[in-house]
Amino acid sequence: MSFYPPSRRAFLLGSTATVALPWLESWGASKRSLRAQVAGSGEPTLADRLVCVSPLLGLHPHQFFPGVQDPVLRRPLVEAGLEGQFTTISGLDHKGALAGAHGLAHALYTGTASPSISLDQLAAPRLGAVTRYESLQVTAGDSQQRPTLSFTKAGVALPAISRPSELFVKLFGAGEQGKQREASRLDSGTSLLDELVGQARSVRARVDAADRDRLEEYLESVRSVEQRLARRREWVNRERPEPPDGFALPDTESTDGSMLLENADLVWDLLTLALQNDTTRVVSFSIPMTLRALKIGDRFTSSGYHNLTHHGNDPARIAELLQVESRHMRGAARLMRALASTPLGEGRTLLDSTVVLFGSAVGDASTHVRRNFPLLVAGGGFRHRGHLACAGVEAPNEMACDLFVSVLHRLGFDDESFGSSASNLDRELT
Amino acid sequence: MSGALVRAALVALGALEGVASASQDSAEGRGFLSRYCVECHGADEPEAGLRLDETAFSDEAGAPERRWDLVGRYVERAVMPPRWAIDQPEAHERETFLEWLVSDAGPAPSEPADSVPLRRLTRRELDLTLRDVFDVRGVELPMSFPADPPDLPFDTFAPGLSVSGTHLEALLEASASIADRYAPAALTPRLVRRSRLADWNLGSAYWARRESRGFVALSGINISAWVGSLWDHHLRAPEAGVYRLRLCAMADPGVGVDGRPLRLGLYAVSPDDYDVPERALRATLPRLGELEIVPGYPREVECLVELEAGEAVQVFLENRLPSTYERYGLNRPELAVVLRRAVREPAPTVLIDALELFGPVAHLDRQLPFVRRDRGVELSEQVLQTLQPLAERAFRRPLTGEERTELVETVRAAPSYAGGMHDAVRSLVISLPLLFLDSSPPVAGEYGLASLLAYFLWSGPPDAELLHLAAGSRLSDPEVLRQQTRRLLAHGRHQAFIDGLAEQWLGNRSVENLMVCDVRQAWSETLREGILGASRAFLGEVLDENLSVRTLIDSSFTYASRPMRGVWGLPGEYESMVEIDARAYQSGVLPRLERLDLARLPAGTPPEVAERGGILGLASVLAATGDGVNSSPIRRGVWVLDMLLGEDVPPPPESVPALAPDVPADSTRAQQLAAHRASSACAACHAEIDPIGLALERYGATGGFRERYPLSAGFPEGRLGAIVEADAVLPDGSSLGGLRDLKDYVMQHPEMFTRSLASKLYRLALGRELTREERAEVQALVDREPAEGYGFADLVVEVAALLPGRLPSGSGPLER
Repeated sequence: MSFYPPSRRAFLLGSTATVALPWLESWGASKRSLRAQVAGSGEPTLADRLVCVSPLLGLHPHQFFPGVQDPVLRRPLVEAGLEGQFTTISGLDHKGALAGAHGLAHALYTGTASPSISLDQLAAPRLGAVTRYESLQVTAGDSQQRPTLSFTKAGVALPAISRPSELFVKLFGAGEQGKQREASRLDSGTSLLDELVGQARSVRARVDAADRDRLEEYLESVRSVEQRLARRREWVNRERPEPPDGFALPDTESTDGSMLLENADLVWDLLTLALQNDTTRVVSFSIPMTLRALKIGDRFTSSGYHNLTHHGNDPARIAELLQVESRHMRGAARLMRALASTPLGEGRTLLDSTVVLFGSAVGDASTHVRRNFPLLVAGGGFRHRGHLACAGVEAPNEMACDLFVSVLHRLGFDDESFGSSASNLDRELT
Repeated sequence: MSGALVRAALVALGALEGVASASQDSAEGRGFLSRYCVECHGADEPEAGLRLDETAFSDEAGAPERRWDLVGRYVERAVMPPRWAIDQPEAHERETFLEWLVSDAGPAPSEPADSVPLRRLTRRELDLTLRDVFDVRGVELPMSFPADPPDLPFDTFAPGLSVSGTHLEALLEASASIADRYAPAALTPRLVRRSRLADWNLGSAYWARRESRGFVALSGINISAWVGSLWDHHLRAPEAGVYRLRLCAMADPGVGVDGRPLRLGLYAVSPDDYDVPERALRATLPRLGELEIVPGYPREVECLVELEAGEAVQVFLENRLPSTYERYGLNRPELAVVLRRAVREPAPTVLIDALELFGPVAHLDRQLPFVRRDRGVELSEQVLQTLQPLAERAFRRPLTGEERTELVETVRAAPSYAGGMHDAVRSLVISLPLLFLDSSPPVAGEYGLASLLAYFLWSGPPDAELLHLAAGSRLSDPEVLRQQTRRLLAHGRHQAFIDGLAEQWLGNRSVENLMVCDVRQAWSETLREGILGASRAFLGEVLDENLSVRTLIDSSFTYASRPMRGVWGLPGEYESMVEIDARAYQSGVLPRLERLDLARLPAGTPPEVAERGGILGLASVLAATGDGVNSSPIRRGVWVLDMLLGEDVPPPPESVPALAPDVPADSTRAQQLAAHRASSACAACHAEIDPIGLALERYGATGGFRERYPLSAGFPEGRLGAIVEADAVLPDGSSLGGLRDLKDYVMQHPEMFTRSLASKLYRLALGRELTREERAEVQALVDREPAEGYGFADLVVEVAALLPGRLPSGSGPLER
């Protein structure tokens, strides 16, 4: 990024930390799976895992970026002793791309308004080749808007798992019976796919060129599913990790929007376990938007989550909003802390090999500003210095996707561009 | 192009009616372009990126399909050349050009293929198809099937309907769960649950109960009138089958309000439906049976219940209340009296001690032919007898010999008969003929027409009558087809057609997802539901009553719910939005939609309410063109041109900056737009878009009426926003002073509206843009329009009558 004088960006250091160890840390991963991880990673210095998170209603920017004394939303990170392991970045966004007020919230990791591949899906085939799931897409309960962050190359929005219990089964399986059932389903599914090829061929013989293209696409998809099934089949009989002692889902589950924080807490923990157990290496997690009030402690917020973001600068409402957003930050901090406490050998931790992205394509939800996204990157072996201030509006060529290009580089890709990127942040972050 | 079509096209353009075709010298048309157009639309930075010089005629031009259409409309309506151009064509020059444009000598736009494209069903169509074909409770498309892309002209447009690995994987998942319902794995009866209720943690608010001496008592009354259990996961059937339910219970006292012994009704609930109020709606739940509970001491009673996979048994104390008082009736005043009495008297109560669910002890009748091999007949015979009816509904046509063989072979290859049938059912669910709408010969034949018609009007598969007519090759008979179209429109399933149009044409889809993030706007969830429902109800009435399509432009009636009436300022006492929402949430009943007779509004109604007739007055249309915070005159103008007048307005060129969304206090919207039009890059298109949008400025971002703009956030309270100006002049000189004038303007060009609507319907049915020939067919429809306009249903019938012409001719039905 040589055409930007370094003076345009300033590094800030966070304040000192107190450390509170979260309970997930003690679980760690089994020795077996960790050995597999070390053996499986070819180049030790590169990161090989990616976590993309986005609260779709954004984060209150004044308490996220440094600038005020002890910003509320940074506290959970500091308290978890994560200083030196993360960088917040201000001044970046998708520039020109505009849509309705909340229209682009799901486009954080694609960088474009038109459907195109998201960062996690670009990275998934390579990073996820060795794990049970190439990638996982997760959200926490019902959402007012399409809660997806992940898109395929063709722009298909990948639906996100919205129930913690479903995610739990993905991680820990459904017992011996479930295993047998899945094996037989996969076997018959694979042979059924063969028939589809025959069906498509017989139709292809009698349709015109445009239709033939569609059938080609169809056949390609059939082939890709065959590969996916083969992979799943291979994993069916491999031993699944056990859920750690003391970890159990609650008796009842509700995906109602009012349960967002409770569901999100479970998702953070389950994602941590998924990474620790090497069940997957690529994850996207959208913290959905809801109109419902949320429970903080033993009482509900005075108005719905979405309404709170339109706080009209009322200090009481901002305080409530920050309580909600602090929960998101605590969840992120808990995940990072647990990864940082999971050794990978050779002095590295799981966090060193995992790029954690946390941010929103909503700059300030109270006024629907789609500028200056709150962005945070953690782990991945980047050179973290607390905060990186980009020039923002004055620099029309600095894009949020610049960060993603650097993330790709960190993950061993040599792509020079991604989405709406204009350059990269390699110099600043490595 | 045939002479008739040329003539039709000429009439279409209002030119030379009845005159034989004039000179169609290509030089003349190209001369027009080079004299009037190329200066701006030439090689050097063409305006709007549109080149109309010689390169426009080359194959490499990559012309958008409807470009020449748009050029024609702009020249016809004197939008182009722009008014500020000094050199203006004479009227006859325009006519000659328009004539040339559609002639054989004119530019040949890249045409879509004239067949019906092979396309996958939309998500909604696929879901309805699976539910219809595999008609078992709980069958649905899984959530993991991706949503269709939201930004196509219509959902049915083939290019958007891709099939990715994710789609197929979701379908595979659905196939296994559907096959389980027909051919489950071997019967392994087991104890699902045996428990004393005292051990359960039952915290639901939706049942009336108290714990007493270790029993759970069904008694009392609660807001939902659900006097019964909602113990969700505790009694869930792992697979479909017959289960034995055993209950240890007693009654105390022993008779219900009807004087008969207390009865527990048994209902199936799917705990995966998280809509709790819906679950408690007993009338919609499948009833499994009934148990009589006697007083004295706890006694065991048992019965067999038929459950689908994943369903849970719930009990309901049937004669706790007079049966006429269903849930939702509780808001009725007369019930309050009954309730007061009920509270005073000893409440009929059922005490449950323990219960047990065991099974499946037997297969469901439906499953028997799928799991039990009948040795008396050939395997192939049994397979086909069992599967062929299912397969023919799934494929919407008879099977080919090859397909029949394949089904039999699938079963034969499996280690067990039931396992083979399981595979065979799965193969139907994921099959290409189910997933794709395929009308290519020779397989589809008239069946293709039956499917095309059914998916057009029902978003679902054809029924037996349509398939029967197709089998006899009678469906393409024009009379039969018209009759059938009317039959489909009269059937309850045509609601999918109305919903689809309301979603994709009248903005309901945007309103469903609208985030109204602005305290300055009146908004609530019941208001949203009212707005959505009003558009469906309005469209529904015009269609069902076969009212003239002119009614869509302007009508003497519209629909509004109570919160909408409050926002519109109709006289009456209104609760706050919060109260209305709370009441709706508690009772589960949305405020009813009422039909407003706009000619007889109550005294004290604000005058602008009388202008709400027609689709332009629908709040969904007005709200969908904003973003929940700001209204956008530009998007409204584009919507009217596109959706009402059939003009495909191109997106602004990349170089044009977006209009700043926030309204500065010191400039009016009209001034802003005027500044916008002063830029020549914008002027051409916006000369037409802006006035139309401005005419609707008196309606705010959520469709309410306003005389002043809301103030931007941060302005001192008490200051008023700028007064809305809604006066504008169209390029042809007509002046518009608001919604009334805009409707009059559209009404003066009824043929444009009919053409636009007919072409929309045709495009929706075909799933692609129209060819020139098809546009001429639409024009011919417009030419035949009676003076008072087509009835809406009549127009749908006319469009449906065009469909056989789009299918390959001479393809007869399959041999069975």
